[in-house]
Amino acid sequence: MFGSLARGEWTQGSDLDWTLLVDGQVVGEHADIAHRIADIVQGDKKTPGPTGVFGGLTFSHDIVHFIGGDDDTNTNTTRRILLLLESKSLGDDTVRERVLRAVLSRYVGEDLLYHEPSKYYVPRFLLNDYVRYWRMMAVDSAQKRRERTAKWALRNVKLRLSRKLIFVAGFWACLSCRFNPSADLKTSREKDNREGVRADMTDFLFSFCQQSPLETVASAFIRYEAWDAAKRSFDAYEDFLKILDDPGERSRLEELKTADAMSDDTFKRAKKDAEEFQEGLTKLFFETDNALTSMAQIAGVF
Amino acid sequence: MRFIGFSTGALALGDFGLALNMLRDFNTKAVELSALRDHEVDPLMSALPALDLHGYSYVSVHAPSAFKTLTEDEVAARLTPCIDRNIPVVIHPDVIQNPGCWRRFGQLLCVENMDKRKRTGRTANELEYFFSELPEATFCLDLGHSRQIDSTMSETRRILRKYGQRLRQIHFSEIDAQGHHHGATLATILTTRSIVDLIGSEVPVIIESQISSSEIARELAVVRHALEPSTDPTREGAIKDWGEDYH
Repeated sequence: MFGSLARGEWTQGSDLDWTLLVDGQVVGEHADIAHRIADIVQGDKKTPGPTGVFGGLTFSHDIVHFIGGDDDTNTNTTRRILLLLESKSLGDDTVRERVLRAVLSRYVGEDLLYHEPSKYYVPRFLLNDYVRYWRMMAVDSAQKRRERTAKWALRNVKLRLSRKLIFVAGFWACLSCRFNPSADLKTSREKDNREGVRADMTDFLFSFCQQSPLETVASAFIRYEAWDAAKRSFDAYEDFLKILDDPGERSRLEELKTADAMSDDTFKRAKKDAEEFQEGLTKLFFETDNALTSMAQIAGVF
Repeated sequence: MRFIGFSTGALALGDFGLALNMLRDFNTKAVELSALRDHEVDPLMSALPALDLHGYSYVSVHAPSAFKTLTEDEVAARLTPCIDRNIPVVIHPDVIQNPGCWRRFGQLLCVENMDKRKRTGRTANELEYFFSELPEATFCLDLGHSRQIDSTMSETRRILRKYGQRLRQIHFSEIDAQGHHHGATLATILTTRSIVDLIGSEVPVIIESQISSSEIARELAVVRHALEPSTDPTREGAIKDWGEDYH
């Protein structure tokens, strides 16, 4: 599952984004299983969004082998990045873990063909995909605004808060390989061991897949003891969740027309939350530590 | 020099005599005598004194993978001739319910990591219990199993970091989704080479590929190639370090 339930941010109005992740031999019955799951979810009136990204089958081979290029469709990229940044298994996590490790090993392993292990600090292939996805979400949001004005305000708020949160989590996970690596990763780097760095960076990055984006971003604030910045961002995010958890406020955002947004109190409150959330992140990445700032500028922009 | 050989059960299930005959012309220096089904233990132990194993530098025995006609204690008792002959006994940890009956084997007991069909013994963490109960036991790394659990080989590296000092032998094969052993493909070769640096050259390798006699020579060559030290692509000069514009 994905979305707010996977992130641990479930609110009353949340829907259920899910996929049946298949990693292995072709079995025709998988489609039947997916239909049965869809029926159950529909029965609870929590159907996934209308984009078609969720609510069906996802095949690990597409996720792992199609990274970049024409075969890496918008849907495939979305599934892969959200699998990395905000997914949880309902039950046994074996398949999800196996696929995530294969994906991460690909990102890291291919980078390592072009770097000395001792100098391989940040997984740029992965980071670039996270940045690409973040920009893609923002551009798609503009496109959806053009195609459908329904729920524009809610989508806008989510983009600036929960969507941005998962991007920042992924961004920090990549930078952590430089600024806060595991002991094993440090050792493999010191030994200039290519396979060791590949395995240990894969392990390290996978550890971020096993915690919520909020926990990951919190770890960044903690690393730099940026308490004021943390308070700004997390207080804002908590208020955002309160808005979503209030049926009246949520439906207000869902029904709000673009022309009325700037004068609506709920939207103005959510907009303020988005600005405060960003302010905390800006302080963390650009006003706390010179090395972090330098890396965030280079890796995030170029 | 690394000793490479076959599991008799892979070549001829239940017929170790036939398998040994199949291997006679190949000058392999390692062999694992299989008693994978518990009714095969007695015939193997009875034949052991008379088997011509002089050409082998390394001999092990594979204990049954399930206890159906005998109890665990009975199997352990029937395998004790291996102790007198200093022959390691490879065992699947998921069948161990009474570790006490295996302690007499000491370092000759060789615990193998399991595939995804089994309920335990598949990862470094899951193996910890067995080595704590059997502190003298050694370790059989099954590369097919560990690759099935994690195709990136990170778990294999973790297993070797934790139990590498206990490493007694390697099982080599390719495992399909149903857990069947096949001859090695290029994918298996490549992933094996990625962890070769963690396996000493003195560790014997037992091939578990279920192949015919006409494929033995090829499989031996493939396994030898898979276990050659990995070649660093950048040191070959094919790929240069692009460098970093930041550190």
